Amino acid sequence: MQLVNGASYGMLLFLVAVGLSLILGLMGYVNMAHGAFVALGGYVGLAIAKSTGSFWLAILVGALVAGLVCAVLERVLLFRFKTHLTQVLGTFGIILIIIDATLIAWGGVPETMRMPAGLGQFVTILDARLPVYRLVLIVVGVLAFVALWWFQERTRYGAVVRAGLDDPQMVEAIGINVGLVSRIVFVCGACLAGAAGVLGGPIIGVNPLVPWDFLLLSMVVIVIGGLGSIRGAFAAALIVGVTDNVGRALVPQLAYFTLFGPMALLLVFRPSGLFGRR
Amino acid sequence: MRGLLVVLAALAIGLTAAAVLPVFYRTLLVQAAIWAMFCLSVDLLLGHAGLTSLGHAAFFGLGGYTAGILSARKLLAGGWLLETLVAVVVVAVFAAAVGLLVLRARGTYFMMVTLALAQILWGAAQVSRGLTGGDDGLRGIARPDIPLLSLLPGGNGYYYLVIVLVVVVFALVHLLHRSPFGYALNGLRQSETRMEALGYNVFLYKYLAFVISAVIAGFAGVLFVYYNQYTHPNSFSILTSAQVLLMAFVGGPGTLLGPGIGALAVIGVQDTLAAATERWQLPMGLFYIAVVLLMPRGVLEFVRDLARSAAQRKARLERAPDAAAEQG
Amino acid sequence: MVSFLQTTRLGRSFGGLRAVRDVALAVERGERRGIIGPNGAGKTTLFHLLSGHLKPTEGQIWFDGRDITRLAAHQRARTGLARSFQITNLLQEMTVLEMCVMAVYGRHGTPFAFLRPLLDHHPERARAEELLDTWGLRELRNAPIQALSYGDQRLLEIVVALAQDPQLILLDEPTAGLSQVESRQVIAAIKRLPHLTLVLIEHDLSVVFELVDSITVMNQGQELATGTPDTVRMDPRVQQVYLGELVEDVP
Repeated sequence: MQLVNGASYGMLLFLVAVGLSLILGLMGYVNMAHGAFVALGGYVGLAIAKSTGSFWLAILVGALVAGLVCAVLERVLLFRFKTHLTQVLGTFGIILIIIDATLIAWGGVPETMRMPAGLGQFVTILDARLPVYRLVLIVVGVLAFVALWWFQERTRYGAVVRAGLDDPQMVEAIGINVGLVSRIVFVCGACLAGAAGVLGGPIIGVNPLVPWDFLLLSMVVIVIGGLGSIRGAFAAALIVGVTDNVGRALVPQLAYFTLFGPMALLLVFRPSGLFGRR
Repeated sequence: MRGLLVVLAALAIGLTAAAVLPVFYRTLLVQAAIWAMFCLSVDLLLGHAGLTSLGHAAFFGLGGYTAGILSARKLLAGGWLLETLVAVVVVAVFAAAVGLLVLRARGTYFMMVTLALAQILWGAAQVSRGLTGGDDGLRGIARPDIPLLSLLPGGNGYYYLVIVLVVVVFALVHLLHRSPFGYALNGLRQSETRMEALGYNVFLYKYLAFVISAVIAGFAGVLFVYYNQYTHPNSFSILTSAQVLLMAFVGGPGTLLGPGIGALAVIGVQDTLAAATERWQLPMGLFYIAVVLLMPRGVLEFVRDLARSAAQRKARLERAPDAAAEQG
Repeated sequence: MVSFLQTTRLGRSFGGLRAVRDVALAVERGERRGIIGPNGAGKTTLFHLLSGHLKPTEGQIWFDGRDITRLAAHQRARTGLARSFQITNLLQEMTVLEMCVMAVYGRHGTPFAFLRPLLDHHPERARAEELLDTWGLRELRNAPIQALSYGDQRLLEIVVALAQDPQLILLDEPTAGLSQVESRQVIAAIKRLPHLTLVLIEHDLSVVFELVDSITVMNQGQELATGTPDTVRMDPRVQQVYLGELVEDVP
């Protein structure tokens, strides 16, 4: 049971972390505001779900809104932050603004999204009563991973991204616009994060702490999985999700400390992450 | 002995200010002083060794919580001095152990690992209700009571203690900056390869800087907890780490007075905003962005640039009538 | 009998690429050795292996009778092995004097010097000032290094290496990027160096022949030939590597 909980949470984490990891690997850009996309997706999705009753529409609109905001921010503001420190501080300012804006617009009362019809039950597999929704989440996460991996390894655009990760100057020299590709990756990452915000709605709810949780855990995921690696993000997200859940279930006192373990191991043996480039 | 005179002057100014300023400004001064010490520790790593720590709140919080727990739960008989000593030692040991791992991460990894570290401690503080009081924090922490200082006007001996301690730490760190150790840190920020080639064990220097920085941050955390007389997991939060980084940035990294100026500016802005609205984080976010865009090299450089362009404009205006006369 | 600086089967691979392989260098104390070879021959990689900035994937290095293969770069510097860099790698924000004192200090100093100001360390400072006087950089001693002309910076690279009280200096293309006049200045300085062991990478062949007792030619990561300047000049394999390019140019 805990494994399923952990794995499904890990899937959400993967969706959020993969965008952050790619943009960090591709452009060396530290985007602390990434959590804000989760919040935006979640709140907008919640509003849509309430007004139209359609969960799937909520996901779509949530993701799109997150992506749109990201695109606008990127054009107007984000590119102005040139050093790591200015990126950290500047994007931190952005996430403060956006989270407070959601508080002003929607209030801070924690809400839970209603489970989409038919997915709220339980199913019994191997003696364990497992929530269907969480199983669905795991499937969604795996599908997303496969889709992203396929895209990166098998398509031309993906090849550009891969090349950009390995050697941006070379790619520029060939004449491909790394900047444009990076911006697209940025926006897609934001869309995924927004979708995660909605998908997580039924199980973790929509509240002002969610973006922070995701942001910070995404950082742990990137440390463990490595920069710029989709496989790394997936593996690490699973590890973090499961470790955290299992840890909490077994020894509630330890909570976050369980994350120390994988991180410390990584740092000792592979300081660039499991699949890190650089 | 110019240095000694400067220190005495700073003490004199600080203590007088603490005595005569009205309450709002006095509390601002003391808060700024504590944050300035915290910022000093961050700047040691950032402006000198070139390491960006996104989780320095870990040490700030750890120092504060240790002292706070000892005080609130009345675990020690030695009073605030012993509590402070224990807190500082705990932070030092923690940093010494953790530093060996954390410093293996380079560049952006280092930033994220330090962030994760603070986050883990935050979680621990939240969860261990028995020890830390969880989300409510601990109350009933006694401020250090120094009979001698209480005699001074203003009624609050603790404020004077803070000023004295902060000035002393600043003086010691200034010595550090000018020592071979300090130069080595600056050197390794500019080129690790070169420093290795000169015979400097770069990892060891970073490690020492890390531990020293942690201890100073922890000490600031202790002062902070005594000031507020309660602890809260927010001491470990990313907001705290980001705020102290902003202070370092505003003041201008790598300078001695930078942390002080940065602390004063940011605390001033924050207190003003918090007094005006409950949703102060939004304008605070704008402040972050404004600072980063407008003052990339700190507020002093910004003011200097403003002064310079004002002077240039003035010079041009003064020349203009002559030019017009020549053409006419 | 082990030479002052000796390598046995020294090599370094990067994945599939063997940048340096099977190098057996033997430099005697007091000898001046030049290392030449076309671009990509592995000369700078060899230097990185010698100074400790790269770990070898095969082979060993001996210095002054000790096996230094496992020693880190900073440890090698403290045994008296100094180097200069091809791309100027000086501490731009420091003043000339400060960097020289740091160089002197690095040889024997300890990290635990937290309190006394750098410039108050009198023996180290005196030695640094003495060096700056000898090499004509006295007027520039309080100038930030980034304010120096490139020629002066290349000269400073050599002075900094000297400040480390070395027994052997690895000079990596000391005249790189310099004009004729500036090059002459640096060459004159190298000639004036006290009786030290010197290993020098240079691109300009006439400069090398002027400065060294013996030459090692490298090509494609391997040692092609070693001998006196005349022997090497006459070696047909060396001629082919260098002149082979020229022959192709003739229509």
